[in-house]
Amino acid sequence: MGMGLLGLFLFFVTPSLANEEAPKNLDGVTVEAVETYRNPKSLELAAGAGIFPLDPYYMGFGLNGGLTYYLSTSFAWEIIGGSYAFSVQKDLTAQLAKDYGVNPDVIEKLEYTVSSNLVLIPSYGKSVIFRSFLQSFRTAFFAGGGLVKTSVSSFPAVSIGFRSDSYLTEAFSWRWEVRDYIAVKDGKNYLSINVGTTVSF
Amino acid sequence: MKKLILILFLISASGFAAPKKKWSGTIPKEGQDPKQWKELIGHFMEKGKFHSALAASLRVQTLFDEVSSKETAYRAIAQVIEKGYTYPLAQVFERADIEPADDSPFVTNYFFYKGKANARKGLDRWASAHFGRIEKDTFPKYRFYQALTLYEKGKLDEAIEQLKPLLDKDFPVEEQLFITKVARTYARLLFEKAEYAKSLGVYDSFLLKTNPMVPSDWLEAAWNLYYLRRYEEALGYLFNLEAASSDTFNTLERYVLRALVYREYCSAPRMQALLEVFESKYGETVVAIKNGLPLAQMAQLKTLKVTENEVYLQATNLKRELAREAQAVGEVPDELSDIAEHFYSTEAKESTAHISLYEDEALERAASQLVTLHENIKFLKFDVEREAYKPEVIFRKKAAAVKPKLQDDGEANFVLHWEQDGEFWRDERLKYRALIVSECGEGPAK
Repeated sequence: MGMGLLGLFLFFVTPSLANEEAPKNLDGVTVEAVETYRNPKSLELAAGAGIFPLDPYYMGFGLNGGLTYYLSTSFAWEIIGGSYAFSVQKDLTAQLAKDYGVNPDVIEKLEYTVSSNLVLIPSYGKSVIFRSFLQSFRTAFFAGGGLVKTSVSSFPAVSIGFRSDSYLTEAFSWRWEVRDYIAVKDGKNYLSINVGTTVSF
Repeated sequence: MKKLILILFLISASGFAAPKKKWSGTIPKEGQDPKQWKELIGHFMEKGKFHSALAASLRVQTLFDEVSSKETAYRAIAQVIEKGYTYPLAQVFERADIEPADDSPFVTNYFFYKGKANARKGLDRWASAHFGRIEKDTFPKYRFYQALTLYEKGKLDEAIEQLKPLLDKDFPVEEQLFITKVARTYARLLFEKAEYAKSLGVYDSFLLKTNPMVPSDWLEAAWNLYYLRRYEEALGYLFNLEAASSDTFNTLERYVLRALVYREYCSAPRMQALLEVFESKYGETVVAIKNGLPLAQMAQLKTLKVTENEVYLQATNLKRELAREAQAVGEVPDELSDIAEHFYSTEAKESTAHISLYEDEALERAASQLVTLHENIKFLKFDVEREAYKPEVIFRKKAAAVKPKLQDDGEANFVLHWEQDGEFWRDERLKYRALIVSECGEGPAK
């Protein structure tokens, strides 16, 4: 029916207050909203970009991606997640080369990271932005193991992190994430801050 | 005998006044130029001050005989109606005497409204002549009008058949209001036919998802749920009327429906709570009515939605909206500022005079309904309390208290039960339900 589509369209295009005050009950009767949460499908592909800001010699810019399978509403398995890093030398590297003749190529640079993680989803929620836009979101902690490859060597690492997804639809979300790889051999951190999008199917 | 006849003649003749002089008045200097009125109407339309445009157009239509001014006025009125204003059409188009002849949509609308106005007065031949000037088969409003006419005659099935092609048609977004009216009429027809599930479907799938929200749609959908015995949801829908944005929908029907649901649940505490809520809102007015205070002093009566008070409510709404739009009189271009100030100041007086024609009867009706409902709620409360002392109720197993669940974490669907705590969320509007416990024992009949 034509009006169904029209209704859907109007529902989204016509601005109105996303939330407003209301009484706490109706004649003393508790009122609840029964809502099927906007729940993404079980398989999710992620893509994005980020930075590795902690290295004193290089600023790493990463392109990252991942594939996650949601086992339930609380647990998921990030089957694979990784990041390919492009390094840009910082002032310190140039200073070392200039003052001490240190060849920048001998300084260890991150090349890529790859890991597999168990994901715990502790919270789902909704937020209202400027009293006009509703946004569903969920947050997750993850932990697992992986590999870090630098220009010098590759070594195993523990991966941990936190992320938040804001859903535009059931299939698409925006994601921001903080992810850290901790080298098993020396405890060095490869922390990245990433933003990106996910597609669920 | 002749004397007697003469005396009788003189007495009866004295009853006839001499022919009165035709009423005439002088238009104040500021409002004498029809060209300025046309520009003022154009300005109001451009700035979205539709109530001002409507009132100014009605003024022009009364003041001037010049065809061009009248046409501007009728065009503006037709546009305001298109935007959903429900000013009684009959009064406006009954006396319409222009003959627009271009091929704009206005011309079709004009003859349609004129035909409708004549039909309302029973002038069928005139109506037929005006309708004859439009493409009836392809003009959706004519089909809708036919459906309404059949509805009034109680021919529900035929009315539904008239509406169905309109519902299947794709309308542009600009015609949202029209298709909303069609859908609402369709839902009401289904309700009249006791097809509550189908009627509810129209509200759920369309009317209650369309912005701006029409609060009466919640009420009508809740009645469907009541007859479908889905009482928790009926209360949930009524909860929407408690939102601040529904404040202007000042209807008593919401209390009636809530009372009926609580009766189904034999719930004396809920009836008591309802009575308290009602009295906290209307108690002072009810006492004032019973004490015989002047009704005109009671502001609540002036906004109470009483079906028979439609014309009065429209007039008061127009006055209110004009006062609001008049606050931006400074936006009017300098060359129109004199006429705009003249218009708003005189319109306020005219509106007040117009409202006073209807006010006494309207307030009487509102007062009567308010007092009657107050008594009815008290009676229903007594009735429910009396039921509670019946042995079969006393010794029935009591239903367990209902508590909201935080989460039902099924694998496929993730269902949340958000307990309401003083906020409405736009996306939850269709998802409210009340957690009410039956005092009847096994719960209300399903």
